[in-house]
Amino acid sequence: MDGLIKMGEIKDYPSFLAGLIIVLAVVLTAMLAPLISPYDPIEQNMPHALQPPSAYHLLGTDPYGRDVLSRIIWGARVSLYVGLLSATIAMIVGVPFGALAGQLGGIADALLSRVIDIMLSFPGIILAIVVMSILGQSVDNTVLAISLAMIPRFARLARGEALQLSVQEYVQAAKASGAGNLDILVHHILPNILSPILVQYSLSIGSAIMIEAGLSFIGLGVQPPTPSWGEMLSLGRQYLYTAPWLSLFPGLAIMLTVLAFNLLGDGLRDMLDPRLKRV
Amino acid sequence: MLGYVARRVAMAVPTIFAVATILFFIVRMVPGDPAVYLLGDMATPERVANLRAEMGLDKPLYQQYIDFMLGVLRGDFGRSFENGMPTMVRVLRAFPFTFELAVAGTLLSLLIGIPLGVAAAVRRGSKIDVLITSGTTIGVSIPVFWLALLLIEFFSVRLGLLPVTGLGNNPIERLRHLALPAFSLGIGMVATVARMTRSSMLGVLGKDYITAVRAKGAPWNVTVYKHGLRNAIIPVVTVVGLNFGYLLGGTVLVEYVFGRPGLGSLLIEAVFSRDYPQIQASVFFFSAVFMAVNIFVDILYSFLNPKIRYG
Amino acid sequence: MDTLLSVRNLKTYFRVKRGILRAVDNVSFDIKRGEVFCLVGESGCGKSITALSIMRLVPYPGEIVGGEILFDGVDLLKLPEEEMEKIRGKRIGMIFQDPHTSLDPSYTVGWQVEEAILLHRMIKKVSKLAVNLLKKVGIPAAEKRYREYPHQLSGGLKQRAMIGIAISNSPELLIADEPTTALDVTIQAQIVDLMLKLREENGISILLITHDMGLVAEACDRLAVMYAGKIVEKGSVEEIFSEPLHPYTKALLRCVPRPDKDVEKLVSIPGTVPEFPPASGCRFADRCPMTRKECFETTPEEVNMGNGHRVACHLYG
Repeated sequence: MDGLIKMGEIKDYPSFLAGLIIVLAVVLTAMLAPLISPYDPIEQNMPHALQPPSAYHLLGTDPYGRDVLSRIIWGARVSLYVGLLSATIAMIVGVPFGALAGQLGGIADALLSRVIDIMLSFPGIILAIVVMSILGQSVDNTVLAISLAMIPRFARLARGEALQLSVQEYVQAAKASGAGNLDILVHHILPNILSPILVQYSLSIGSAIMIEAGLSFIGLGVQPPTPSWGEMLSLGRQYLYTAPWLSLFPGLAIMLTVLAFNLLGDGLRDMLDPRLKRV
Repeated sequence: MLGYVARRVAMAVPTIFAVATILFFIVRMVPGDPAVYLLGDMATPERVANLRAEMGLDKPLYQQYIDFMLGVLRGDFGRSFENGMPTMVRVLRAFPFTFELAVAGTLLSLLIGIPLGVAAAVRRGSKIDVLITSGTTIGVSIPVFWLALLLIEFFSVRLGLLPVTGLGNNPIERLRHLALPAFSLGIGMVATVARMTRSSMLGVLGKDYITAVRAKGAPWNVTVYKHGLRNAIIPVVTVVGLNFGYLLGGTVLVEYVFGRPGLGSLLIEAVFSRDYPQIQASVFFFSAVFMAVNIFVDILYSFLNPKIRYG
Repeated sequence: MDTLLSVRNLKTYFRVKRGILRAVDNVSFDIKRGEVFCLVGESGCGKSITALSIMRLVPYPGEIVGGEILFDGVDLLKLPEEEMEKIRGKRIGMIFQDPHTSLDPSYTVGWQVEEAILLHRMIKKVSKLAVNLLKKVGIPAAEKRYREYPHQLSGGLKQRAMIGIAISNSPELLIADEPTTALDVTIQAQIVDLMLKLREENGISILLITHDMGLVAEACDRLAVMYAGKIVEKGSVEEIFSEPLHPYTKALLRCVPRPDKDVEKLVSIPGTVPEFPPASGCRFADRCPMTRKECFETTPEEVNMGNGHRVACHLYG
């Protein structure tokens, strides 16, 4: 990366800035959940069940009398945990494999491309559903299922970028001067494909959060009573006629968080891609 | 052209083969004995043994694998644990509903997404462009199932305009029943299509041949549609094809929310009842459809692009 | 010969982030009927933007902010867009620098020639006309090429097809923006010959934009030398080649390899064209070997040196 971003330039990228601010807000919310959440997110309080938004319960209560706002605040923890962890695992596994395949070419590349093709022939959420049905439902299995579904994206991206780089003169020069494959990968390939990977990473966190919410919505992801946005929506679905606030707010939280990571990713792409540098 | 199609189909064969193999082993990885699970913990050992023999579980693993793959070749994934019906028959019965939904969602996304993308590209930097561009960023961030809930809440619960569940008996009713699911499914794709159309269109409109067409005396709108869109549409088709997998994934959630029959509902039902043959058959079919669509898109792409068509 | 095109005080500016880029600044010249007029200068000097301004096809974020472009007595800048569309491709044809990118890859060559004809004339047997045009611009096996896509043609053939499109409605003016730059040397000569032949046969006027002084000497009647958005010198080819006045013109002519003179080495002009030249003073000042104080202070006016030879330089003020 030749052009690290100067702080002064960030203001030229309003979408990046907006994404960054929302992401930081969500992270803070998750970290400070015990301090800022007005009620216990799990403890039931039946007499207060299904109250619409009010001064006491800003976003209303659910059928068990739990405060929706508090559950959304705690739900940020699950979403971020799953989103960050599964995107990170997918990146750590997918990038080196993909990059190495692209760099080496030949049989290694053909083989890996085949594996990527096969993994990509399952739509992501379907792969995750199947994996969850095999592994059983828990937060960590959700992470595993989602990272598995996202590995091929990173591998494919890294492969393509490494393939382009491997024919560049400086890589050829390093090879000619006797550098080993691993050496070239670590010193010449990986540092130079960082930008697109970073963009993909940010976008993947968003889609991981989305898949987690989808799995939990169906009932295959995070299990109640652990507060998660998807699970809250699945509860809300049953009270669509009587308590629409149950469906509105958790979905808004998902959308905002996913939007933030998408803005961050798009913004990063604009900032890091020299081809898009404006006049 | 025919040779290209044949080659493309031939390339998919090993992938299909691998998918089937993975499905075989993934189910074998499930802890516990499916026979015990089916019969319950209280079953006598003889009954379990009988069922195991019936299901072929007493044979060595390689024999089971060969049997399974031979079944796959015939399109036979065994019978459903749930109701004893051949799993592929259930899949084929569910497929038209999913197909209808996916096609409606795709059509909707093209019909809305392409004009939006063109409008944004043509008025680059204007308020309309900013509005459409930010709209698409929000669009791709909306969870399908949440949008479905909001649409139900608004159009069905509040306005009573459109039905939530069911399929409808006559064509008009059928369309009315399809409206909300298709819209929920399509909106994310609208955003993707609009973005892609915009950036592709901007690329094309900056090309020399656009100026050259204008220099012939062609009006701006003729240039935009006949030459701009004609060339910009090629990458859009590819993106729609590549995103068809996400769309298929989305049908699972949409069918679940609306209680529509289809591949997705079938899969979720099978997952919850641990109906493994049904899971295998459903996922296999999803993958096969996905691959078929990718092949179709490749062919369409080469058809749209004379450089590939005439080597 | 009467005047066909008269560009007067044309100003085309680009509003970019870093300020206003004055790509064409107060440019004036006349083209007579039947003559080949050259606009010469380094890349980035504004000659292509001048051409696109005449067609009113200045790309975003550029804008024509002032001046007149009188074509056959009518100011093109005052025409409504629909009227301008009737002039583009009908009375003024244009060909571009890179033939590889100036044909639409999705349509056959024949279709694109026909489109050019049908935009202006209702003709039933248009395909016959199109094939004849392709023949006229020297495309061998025209019937076969007619059905082919641009990527199946070589660069030279594509440029011939572009010329065919540009002359399809017998225009009075042909604008050729570096028509040979992207082509092989042997093909370049053929394309130039073709254009000169068209001038001879049809009496068409040509605005030839180039940085190639050799081409100017070969093809031009009169020329204007452009530097950083301004015309620094104009006159007939004979006048300017025998007695170049502006230091920039002199430098340009020294850059041409000439077989008749035994020049020790090719001279290149140090420095580059400034993107944002200072508002006052001569724009060539910081590269000029003969500057005086006033060159950095006041913008030189155009001076008539006789025989239509004009120069904008303080040396002659």
